[in-house]
Amino acid sequence: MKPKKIISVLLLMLVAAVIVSACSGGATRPSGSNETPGTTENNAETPKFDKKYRITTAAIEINEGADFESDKMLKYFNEKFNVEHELIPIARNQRKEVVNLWVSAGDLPDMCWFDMVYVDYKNFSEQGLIKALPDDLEERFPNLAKVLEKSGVGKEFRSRDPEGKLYAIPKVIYFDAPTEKVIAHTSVYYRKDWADKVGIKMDKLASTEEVAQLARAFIQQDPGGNGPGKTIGIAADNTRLTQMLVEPFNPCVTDFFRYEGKYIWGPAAPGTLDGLKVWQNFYREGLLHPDFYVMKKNDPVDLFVSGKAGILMHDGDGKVIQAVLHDFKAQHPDLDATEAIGMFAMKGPDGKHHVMESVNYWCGVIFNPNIEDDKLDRILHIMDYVATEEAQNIIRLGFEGIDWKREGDTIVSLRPKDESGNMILLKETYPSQPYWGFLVLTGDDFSLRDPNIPKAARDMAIETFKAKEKDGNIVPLDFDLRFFSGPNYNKKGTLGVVYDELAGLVLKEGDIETTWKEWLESKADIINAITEELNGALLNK
Amino acid sequence: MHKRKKKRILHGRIDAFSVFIYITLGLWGLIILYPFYNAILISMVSQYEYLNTPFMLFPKNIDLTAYNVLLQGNRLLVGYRTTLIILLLGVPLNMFLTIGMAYPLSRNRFPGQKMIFYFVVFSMLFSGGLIPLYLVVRNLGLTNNILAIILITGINTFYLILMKNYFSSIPVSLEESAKIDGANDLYILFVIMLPLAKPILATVLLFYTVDRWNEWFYPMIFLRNRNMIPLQMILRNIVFETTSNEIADAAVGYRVQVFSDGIKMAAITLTMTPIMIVYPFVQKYFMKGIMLGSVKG
Repeated sequence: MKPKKIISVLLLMLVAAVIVSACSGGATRPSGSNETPGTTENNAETPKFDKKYRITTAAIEINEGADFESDKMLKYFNEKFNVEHELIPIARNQRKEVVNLWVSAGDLPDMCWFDMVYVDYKNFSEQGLIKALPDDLEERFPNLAKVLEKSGVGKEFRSRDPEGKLYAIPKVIYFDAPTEKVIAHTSVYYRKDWADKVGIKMDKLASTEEVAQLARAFIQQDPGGNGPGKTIGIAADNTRLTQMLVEPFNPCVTDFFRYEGKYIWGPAAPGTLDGLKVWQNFYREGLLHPDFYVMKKNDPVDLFVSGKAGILMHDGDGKVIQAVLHDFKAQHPDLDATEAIGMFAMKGPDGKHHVMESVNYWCGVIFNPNIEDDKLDRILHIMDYVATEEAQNIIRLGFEGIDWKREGDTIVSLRPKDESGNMILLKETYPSQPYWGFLVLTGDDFSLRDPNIPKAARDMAIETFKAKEKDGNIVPLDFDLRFFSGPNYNKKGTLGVVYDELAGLVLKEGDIETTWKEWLESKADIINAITEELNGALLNK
Repeated sequence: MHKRKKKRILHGRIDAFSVFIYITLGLWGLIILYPFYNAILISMVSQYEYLNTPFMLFPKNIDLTAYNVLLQGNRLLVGYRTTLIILLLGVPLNMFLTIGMAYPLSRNRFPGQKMIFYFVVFSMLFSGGLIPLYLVVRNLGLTNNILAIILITGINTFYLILMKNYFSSIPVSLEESAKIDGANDLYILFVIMLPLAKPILATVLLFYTVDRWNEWFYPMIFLRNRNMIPLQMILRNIVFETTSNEIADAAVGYRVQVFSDGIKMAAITLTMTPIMIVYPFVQKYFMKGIMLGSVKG
């Protein structure tokens, strides 16, 4: 028996030792100096790019299964900066959860996509879970300085950090916005050829009554030849219908905002009820798709490009317009898409386009807290270069002499076309192109001057922007609110998704005003708690 | 009565009630089968035909654009390869561990047996959470390693309990008589118990196979190598790309006009087809299991 007992004890000790060793350590220690994160105290000036670095980078634009071995664009950046990139895809539909998990577990790649939600940014930076950027970043990297300045992030984020540090680089939308203040490009597409047939001419801004008249004519007169009762007036989901029918009355409907000197909840503002009445009238009259409340994001676009619907509310930047025109042409090869489709924006009862000023950034990049300062420096050099015009031309157009050439002032594409006449996409030749295309700038800016996007599409976008600005009421950005964090305010998600909640009110039987008031009453506790918190914290600033 | 009915049918005379039953069940079967058929149809037609044909029985023109989009590049091949690796390594491990635990727990033999079983049930109700799990996997050096996916779902406790209960239903006397003849525990398990447990083994094998086939959540968290992404994740990403109009996805773009519902249905067809092919081969074991229970009753 004794030997058996000894063996049992030894086995138990072995198991305990394995458990203890597995639970200990594991975290990577920072290599290099132990100086305060974010400082750039190098004892000696080292020549640029002598040391080769392997950079792990995670982003949502990286496709699984892509062959990066023969990717010349990736090779170009790798050779230029003496690095080797390991590209890690992040699942798009779970990106926030995945990144938050990696941050919390201390297992970030060297650089990683981040959704720039301020509450998370603040928590991560306070706990040292992400790397602080160098204090002299703007001095050493002028293009990144421009990114920080144009996005507003540099000033706003630094001013809210106790030590004035910055922990993320935003992806700026416009270096050169088509309007003085950045506004959403969401616009209304309509069948101009159908409108001509029914004798209606639309201006660049249209009221809800004018849209109703147009939709009614499309349904009743069926200029598309779909058959009686088969044409859909307006194809749009809850989000787009809120933007189309409620925001002309209250552009701040989706969030809290400052109204007559104090903060209130957007759906509770007076203009919301006017918009809801219009929405309900549209629905009851049959101007909308009967199942609009269950439509997925692409369903309205599918209906519009296939000729079943006459009006569509959708993104209106150059590349999205190009996609709509392209898809329309594929379904209607006998029609000129630029002649068949027109665009306008919505105006309120006062004749103005009402919209909130948008932030000039979309998501950002964060860094592993244990990354070497020299490696971070190299990454910042890369990002700084990506923000230059030279790099943007490579990323958006390809390589001169291979993918495009200059003929005087004109850029001519050399990219081959397939048997249907569609130009081969850059990402098919250079799989890493989407990654570079969204690393520092999002591409909205370039899409307004991209020679590969038909001029008609670019002009459509620019003209609509100009119309919005010319007769626009642009509600300025409230950075204090945007970057506010409070125990009640952080729970505003419990109020539900505003678009879906408003759609639910529209669908109910009975008087919309009564329904709206009852709905607000049901949420009064949380709304009052949040507004009290906001008014207490922000009104005296 | 039963003999009279059988006689009537044998002589080619089927009564009205039988006809009514056959028609009703036939229609019911068609109603159940139609959604599958409809999914395949939608994956093979153009958007125009789909929108203009509310009830489709046969496609007028077959359009395989959705499949071309899905099969672009080698994303899907990477997905199939990874999923097959997970399947071929993971399912045998799952079965080995589950059998290895279920059989001893089904026999009242060793001290602490009940406590172990309570721990198993406890783990069904409570879990340590995602971040502790991630930290454990990371500290074992298994992040970005396919073994992380294979090992962390070693035993499904629900299937373990099913198997344990099945083993418990096999008479102990079989074991006792084998022991009298000189058999040891391993011999009894492999030569006597497992052949008798074929129905439950087939059932649990199918459950594990479907679980592994549908695996996407843990790969999404633990795997970073883009050549190790399983099929479900790739299909999810493709469907998301084609149905989203978010700012980043506009850069993804497709050269051909993409019919989002067609892509979804093509993804569903590609995913369900392998499982539908395997299922008929294990179906008979389910039937055997049911028959075994009814004969004994």
